[in-house]
Parts: sequence; C-alpha cells; structure tokens
Amino acid sequence: MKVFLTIIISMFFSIANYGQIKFWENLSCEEKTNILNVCESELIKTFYEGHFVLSDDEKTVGLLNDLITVNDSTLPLSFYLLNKICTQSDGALAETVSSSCIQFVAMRPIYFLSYFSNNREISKQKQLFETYAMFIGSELYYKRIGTSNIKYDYKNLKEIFNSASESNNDIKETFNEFWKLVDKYIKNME
Amino acid sequence: MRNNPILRIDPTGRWDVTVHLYNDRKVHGYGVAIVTDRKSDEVYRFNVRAEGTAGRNRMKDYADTPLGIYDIPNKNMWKTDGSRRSYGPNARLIMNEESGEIIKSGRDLIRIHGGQQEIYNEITKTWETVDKPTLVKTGGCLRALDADMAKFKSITDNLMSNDSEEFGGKVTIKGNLKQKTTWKGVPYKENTTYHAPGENASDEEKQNWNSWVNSILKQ
Repeated sequence: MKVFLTIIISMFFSIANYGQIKFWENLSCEEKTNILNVCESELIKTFYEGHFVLSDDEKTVGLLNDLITVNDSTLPLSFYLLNKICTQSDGALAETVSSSCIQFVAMRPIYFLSYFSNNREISKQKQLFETYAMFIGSELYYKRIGTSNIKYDYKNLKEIFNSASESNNDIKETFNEFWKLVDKYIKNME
Repeated sequence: MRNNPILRIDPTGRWDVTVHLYNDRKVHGYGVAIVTDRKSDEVYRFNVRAEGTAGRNRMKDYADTPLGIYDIPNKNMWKTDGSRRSYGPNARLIMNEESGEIIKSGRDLIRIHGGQQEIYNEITKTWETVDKPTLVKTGGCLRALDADMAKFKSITDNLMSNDSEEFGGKVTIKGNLKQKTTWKGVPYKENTTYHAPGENASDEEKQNWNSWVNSILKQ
C-alpha cells in the first residue's frame, strides 16, 4: 500500500512540478541563502559549511537520515549534498549510503532523473549517474538476498520510475539508461 | 625487524593480520586472514571477501580492497557505531592507510567487518540471521562472517588483556595467491602452481578451494 502511494505521489510530483525543477547549482545566492535559512538540520548546515568529516559513524548516519527526510523547500540543498556524499564516500561508508540513495530517488524520481537528463549534458555527470546506479543496484540486491528492510524491491522501484517518467521523453530516456546500469550492478553483485 | 623469522618476535609488541588474496579477484574474490600475536604465532584465521561493488580497478572508490599495509591503532581499534545491517552485530576493525596500493589509490575507510547476514524483524524488534548467510561484496572493505568477527575480536582482546606488551599492529593485504584458469573439480597441485576454481565454479567448489588454501597456509 505504501509503495502504491509512493507511485501516486511520484506521478503527481512529475505532472505538477516538471518544468519548475530547480537544482542547487542553478540557484542564485539569494535563493541559496533562503534555503539555508529554512533548513532546520544542524548536521546538514555543518556539512554544507565544510565542517563535517564523513565517516562510518552514527553522526554520518544522522546526516543521511536528515537528507532523505527533506521537504520541498530544502530539496535542492539536500540533493546537492547527497551527490557530494556519493562522490566522496568509499569503503565502509559506501555501504551505508546505498539505502539512503534508494529512499531519496524513490520519493523524487523525476527530480533525480531530470538532473541527469540529456538536456542537462549527462556526460558531465556520468560518474555520479553510475554511482547512483551502483548504490541502487546494491540495495536491490540486498533486498533480494533478504538483508534489506527497505520497502522497495526491483519490481516496484522500476514501476515508480516508469510511472514518473512516462510523460516526458527526455526523462524516459534517462530512466532507460539508468535502469540498464542498475541491472548491470545487480548482476555484478552476484 | 617486524616479524623477523629468525627472531620470531615482533620487537614492537604487536598483533598483526596478514590477508592472503588471489592475485586476480575477477576469478576468485576471496582470501584468508591470518592473525598472529607479537611472537608471530598464529592465533586465528578466517575467510574474507575482498571484492568491491564497483569492480576490479582498485584505484577507484568502491572497487576491490586495495593491497598494502594498514596500521591498526594501538588501542581502541574497534568501532561499533553506525549501521548494524552493513557491518554486522560485532565491532569492525579500523585500518589506517600506511603504504602501498592503498596510499596510491587515495582511498579510505577500509575496514574488516561482517554484515549483510541479518535482517531486522520489525515485529519482534530483533535481528535475525538470514538463511545461508554469505559474504556479500563491499564498498572496498574486507567482509567476514559475523561469527568470525566475534571470535577475531575476542581473541585479540584476550591477547591484549593477558599480555601488556600486545597492541594493535598492522594489517598487510597481499595478492599472493596465484591460480591458473583450468579447474578440474578438485584442488590439485602441478609442480608449484595451484589450480583454482574458475569464475563459474559452484559455491561448493569455491568452498573446497578455500578449505584447501587454508590447509596449505597452515603448513
């Protein structure tokens, strides 16, 4: 039921907000300041200011939790910082990040795919695109072998993406490319 | 001077871990970790998996565990916070990059840990071991069975509490297990080359190989 609701919310989000999507990199200084002012998480603000050392610890888990429980007003900041974590994490931290990534993208499929869609020059973000696919592939693999409590499995996550990307060809194309990579990484986990 | 075979004693007073891995992890991503006390006597050994989710290029984040020497902090070398699902119910060993491939790669947060062998039961609010737990690939760490991690910690804790000169030493990761591509179903020796299971070998064949490697390294 929860997954079904997620699909509906994702579809609504895709129809209502497509075209108004804003990413941190494109915001003005004023817009960025406004977001930082409404952000209630001290962990997020500390990390943004560069005073937070990522590690395989409770504090980093707390930061990841704050990032995925984001509301619309701080979404660009949260996604920007999650991307940063994805590109900086390695070793023990990498295993913790995968469940956060899947939760984030399942709630914001259009936002996520738009960032990488062709008109945003995916080639410049190829590494990050692949990293997300790896994390999501890993998490879906953990789900398959029974060690993940995440509510999404391969089938329903794909359905979430499918439904959310139906109305736009660019997004659909990005999704198809993304899912091929997810499949590759699931296979790679075996 | 460390682990000098003549002196048979580590003059700095350290327990160490040497991890012997396949030189080609595409064929076999497992190895054996051997724990020795400051007198270089073996005190424990266990199987590990050293394959990363991002593949074989050890210079890349999330890829296979880089070779090299890592320093174990003298004290407080075990970490227990963070994700139980990822690291298991036991502590994980901190390994700070010191030399070799791990330094060249610029990678970090490499540990020896368990994990991905349990599921949290939300009804009973307890962690339960999954059926047939396996060593799942990591983000670059070495994964061991949860039971092995518990024993590893208990043994090294005992070493340190029974001998005031025992501290955490080094983890040395070597890619020194060689193999040939042919596999005849059982481990065998031909001159000095050991034949290993191919990529498509069954779990049982790989397990046979692991047991056999263990027995060789014990000699």
